[in-house]
Formats: sequence, structure tokens, C-alpha cells
Amino acid sequence: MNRALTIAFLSLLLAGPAAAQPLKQYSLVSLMDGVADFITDSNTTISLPFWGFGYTNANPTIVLPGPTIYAKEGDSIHVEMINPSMEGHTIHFHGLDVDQANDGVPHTSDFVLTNQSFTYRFKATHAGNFLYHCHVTTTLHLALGMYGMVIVYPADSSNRIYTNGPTYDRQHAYLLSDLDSRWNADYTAIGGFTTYAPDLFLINGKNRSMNYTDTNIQINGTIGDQHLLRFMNVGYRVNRIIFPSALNAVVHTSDGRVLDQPYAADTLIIYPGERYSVLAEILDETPSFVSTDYLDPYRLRFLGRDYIPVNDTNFTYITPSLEDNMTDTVGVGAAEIAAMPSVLVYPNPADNQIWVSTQGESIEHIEILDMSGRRVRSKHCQYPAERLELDGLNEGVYILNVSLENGKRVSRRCVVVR
Amino acid sequence: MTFDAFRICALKTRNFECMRWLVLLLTFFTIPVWAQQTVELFIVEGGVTNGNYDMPYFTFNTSDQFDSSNAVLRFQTGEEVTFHVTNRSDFTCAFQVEGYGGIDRIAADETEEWTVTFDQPGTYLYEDPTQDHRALGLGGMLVVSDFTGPEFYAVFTEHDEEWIKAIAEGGVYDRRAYNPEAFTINGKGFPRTLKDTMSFIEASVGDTIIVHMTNAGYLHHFPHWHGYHVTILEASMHPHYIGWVKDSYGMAPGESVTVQLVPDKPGMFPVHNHNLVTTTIGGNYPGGMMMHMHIHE
Repeated sequence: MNRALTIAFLSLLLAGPAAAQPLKQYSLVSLMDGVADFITDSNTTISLPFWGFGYTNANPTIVLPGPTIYAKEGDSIHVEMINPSMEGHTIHFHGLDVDQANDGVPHTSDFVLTNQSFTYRFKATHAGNFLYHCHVTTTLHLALGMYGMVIVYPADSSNRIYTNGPTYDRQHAYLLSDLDSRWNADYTAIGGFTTYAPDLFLINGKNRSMNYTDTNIQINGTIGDQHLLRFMNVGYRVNRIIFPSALNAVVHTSDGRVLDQPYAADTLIIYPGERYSVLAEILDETPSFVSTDYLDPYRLRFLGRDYIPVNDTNFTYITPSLEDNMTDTVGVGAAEIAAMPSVLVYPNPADNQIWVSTQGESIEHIEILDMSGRRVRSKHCQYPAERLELDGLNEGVYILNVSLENGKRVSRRCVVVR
Repeated sequence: MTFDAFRICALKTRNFECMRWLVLLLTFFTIPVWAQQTVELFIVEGGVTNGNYDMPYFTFNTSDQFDSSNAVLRFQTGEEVTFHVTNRSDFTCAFQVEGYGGIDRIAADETEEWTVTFDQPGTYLYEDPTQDHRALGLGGMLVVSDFTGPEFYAVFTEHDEEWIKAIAEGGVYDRRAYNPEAFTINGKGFPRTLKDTMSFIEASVGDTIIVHMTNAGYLHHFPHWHGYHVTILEASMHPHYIGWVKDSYGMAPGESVTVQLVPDKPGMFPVHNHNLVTTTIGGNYPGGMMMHMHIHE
């Protein structure tokens, strides 16, 4: 105790009031009485109840998603949550690494029960993209709409992705989620959590034509413009973002942390809870679109698709083709386990060259990655057996990614020893 | 029980400080014995609960007593190991370690032997690769590492009673309709994970902690860390993740991910799958794929 007091005293003495940290304060209400419109597969509009968060005022209204919380790196953030609803709720700040008391998990922190309030206090230590959501009976409360975004800018408020990072001309935040209309229509009749089968796939709480004329959604600009695209997945399904050739998309951060090596991507997989900052340069002003796909955790089966228009103010929904609906992506499911292609890598350990062979399927491409994930060799192939030279590779363990003619991809480890 | 089998069982026992010394001590004494290191494994039938009822279940255990956790097999780099795998089920099984090979066929009530040298460090899935047998529960984790600090292990699996029964009792199952209803870490759903000494992270601020995760199921799983970011050291099917500092990530079926955690504050925090359908058990939340860490000052 004495030591703590001494430290506290010394800190006061050394830092003084001048070091008081900038404070961002928000006050939100949690309510279960929202109603929102969505567009169904048959292109009709339906209204569904939702639960969520809204700003505190005399007559509070909740919005889907909840109000975005903005701060700068280094800010202290205080979010007061007032709960006038009939059930307990909390706010968990996902990815902000808050302490246990402010973590919003009922069984380790606390509930905010009916007519109670709580002020969550934490610090924004890193610029980037974060989430917030209710953590009470999360499976249900989150699915019904109790979520939002936290966006943290660099300390100097500059238009940089992160402190001292690359600059952007415009920014867009895309919060991707999925919704089971049956759950929202009557949460008392869901019949068990494993019945969750989303049929509405949302960007910022809306879908399809409700979004296409929104200038915050649209990516509009001229050649050379740099657009920061913040993608966050708060749903229970996997997102696959496919960028058009009109954009040069480079991934710079994930989960609020800077990647050592930014990388260009034409496709970006975003698992539940993940967030990415992508800097997209406009290469071509012809109208195009970014596809946002929603995939099942089982075999990454295609479930649905929406779009972000690029330089197209008249964009209309494109129904995915049967081919899209049939696609199983990179996931390995039960059926594939049975038919897993046999790919041999030999000799292993290898010294100067290595053979990769299949039981007859042609190999299309082989890449060799080192243990830091860097691609050190890449070869386009055509035969069921292919040789790769290993000259110049250091001794060590490598990962071989082998793409086969049928679209299957197999990874093997190999060791180089000389 | 041989010394070596004891070392493996020891990983399931709490009181880490004590075990660490014991393991070090045993390691010291068993160095000359490595050439003959033998591990007894048994394929054993038992049951796991999904909250409302038990379903048939099979695991690899180090004794013929059923434990819903598959044994975590942990070796040091370069160890030569002979496995004796005994099949206590009614049907033919197999034993395979990702990247190392194994035993192709173990008939009911037979014991087969396999000797291997674990020369590549890493976290590996071991399983019965016979079609769909991983759905019975026959998938676990094998770690080859020289790390001596606090280390924890979490095998993520989901369970579909209909599929298990179809395999175990003979029947037809349409895999396209896969609809698992129970979700576990090391064969246990929260709150039972609170007593799972392999996955319950008990450590102190500033410790360098290694956590190995293997997805032995057929769904993708998405661990999310409360309280801290972790550094990804190994991700067998997402190699681009290596070196990234993350709080959420995906694990493909069969994938192993190893992370390093250096906690900067004390507290009790959950680590759970962010496909929140899996954090339920028998219709209750929280449940299923949720483990915890208790970080001391």
C-alpha cells in the first residue's frame, strides 16, 4: 500500500496536471425496441424488430449499427451505458484490451441491469478499427443488433491510417454482419442457438439498394485517389471481400495493429471478430464494384453477397450466379477429407531441389513460403510431377502451397538441409 | 505406468510450478532413454455431454480409462518415440500425425506399433484419418517444442450426435446437412473448461506464455482473446498470419495455430470462438467453446 501511494504521489509530482489525458465521453442507451427495414431475396422490403444502442437523450432511439465511437490514439474513453430496457446488457469493447472491470463480460465483470447504468473507462492505445457489442447472452443479443464500431485515429488527427503511416484522401467504414430474420422477428421462438441460419447480409446495418446511393458506402474518385477502407466483421459468418481490377488494394493493419509487411490483395478473407484497414488506390474510373461475400464456417459455403459500388451512382443489385452458390472455397470439409488429394514432397529434407507429385492431378502452381510467411519461390506448373530448385534458400523449414487443376489447394512442409 | 506416459499425463495436472520441475527432472533422467521412449495410446469409447444428454464419443487416451480430452502428446525436438496404439473400439481405426505419418490400420482390440523421430518443431493435428472418424472425437494435438515456460493447449472440436451415431452404429449421414449441436475445447464445454488444466491459462503479468490451438473439427473456428493481443508464431493453413499481432483469427479444419501471450495486466478474461453459435451448450449461454485465463499480478 505504501509503495502504491508513493508511486501515485511521485507520478503526480512528476507529471502534474499538464499530463491529463484527452478524454472522449459518450453516453449510450441500450434498448430492445428498434425497427429497421431490410431488402429480401425477392426484392421486397421487410420491417424487423432489433435490439441495439443509441445516443442518450430525452427520447432515445436506437440505430443499427449503434453509434460509432471515435477517438484518437492516447485518448481516454468514457462510455456511459444507461439501460432502461427490461433485460440486463453490457458493452464489451472488442480488441481494445480493456481491464477486467471494464470488459463487459457478466461472469467476469458485471451486468448493467434494468434502470442501472455503468461507465466503461479505458484507453485507446492503438489507432485502428475495433468493435463493441453486448456480451449478455451474446449469441442472441449480438445477433439481434447490439453492436457498433470504435474507430481510433492517430494522435495528431492526421489523415493517416496509423501514426506516421500512409495517408489517404477519403475513408469508409464497413461493418459487416449477418442476421437471421426469423430470430429478429420473434426472439422467443428461435428454438435453440444452433438454429441460427442468416438470410440477410448487412453492411452498416443495411443491405442492397438501401446502401448503393449512400456516399459513405460508395467509393467515388479519380485515378490516383487513395481510399481507406475499414472492414470489420461482427457477424457469425466468414466474409470474403473481392476487389475489382479498378482498385489496387493493399492491406495495412489487422485488429488495430500495423502489419510489418503491407500486402496487395485481390481477395480478403475476414473471419468473425477480425478487422482490416485496406488502402485502395483508384486505377480506373470505369464503374465497377467490390463484392462482399458471406460464407458458412462449414466448408466456407457461399451464403450470400452484397456490393460496394465503385464510381457507379446507378448501381443495382446483381443476383449471384448458380456457380457462386455452388462454390466451396478453400475450406476443407468432411467430403474433402475423404477425397483429400495425395501430394508427395520428396526428398524431405531436401538440399538443392525438391519434387512435388500427385496421383495424376495436374499441378497448376507451387509457392514456397518461409516461416515468416514470405514467398520465396513461385512456379507455374502443368504436370502431375514438378521439380523446384532450392538454390539460394537458407536451411530451415518451409511451407509449400500446391494448387491443383481442380482448384484444390494443399499445404506441405519441407525442410532444407545441406 | 512408464515414466514417459507419466510425463504426458502430467500435462493434464495443475500446479504448474511443481510440474515444471518434475518434467525438467524427468527430462534430465530420461535423456539416455529417449531412444527407447514408448508411449501407450488407447482408442477408448466414452461419452461427452451437450448439456442435455450424453452422446457416444471416442478419444485417444494414455490409459484405457476414457477421458473426453484427447491426450496432448508433447515431445522435444529430436526425440525418437515408439507408439503402441491399442484400439478398444469395435471397428478398425488408424493413427496419423500430420506431417509425420503413422499407423494405417489398427483392427478392433489390436495393438500396433510405430516409431518416429520428431525432428521438426511445431504443433500438429494427430487423428484417426479413417473417413469421418475425427467426427467421433478421434483428433488431438501433438507438440514438438523445446520451450520450457508456461504452455497451454486447446483442441477445438464440434460434435454432431447424428453423425457420431451413424459412424459408431452404422448408418447413413448426409455430410452436406452437418449441423453440430455441441462445441468443446479439449472435449469440454464451458463451464467445464474452467476445470480443464490444459487450456485454463494460469500465469502472471510479464510471463511469456505459449498457447497451442488445434482445430480438430470440420468447421472453421475463430478464437477471440479478451484483454490482450497475441503474437501468432505458427499457423499451418494461414501462413500469412505468422508474426501478426491479433485478437481474433480463423483456424481452418485441421489447422494448428501457436500464439505467444505476454500479459500486461492482471485479470480474469475469456478466450472464445466469435462464431457465437459455438459459445453455447445445450441451449445455454455461455457454454461450449470458451476457455479462460487468470493472470496474476
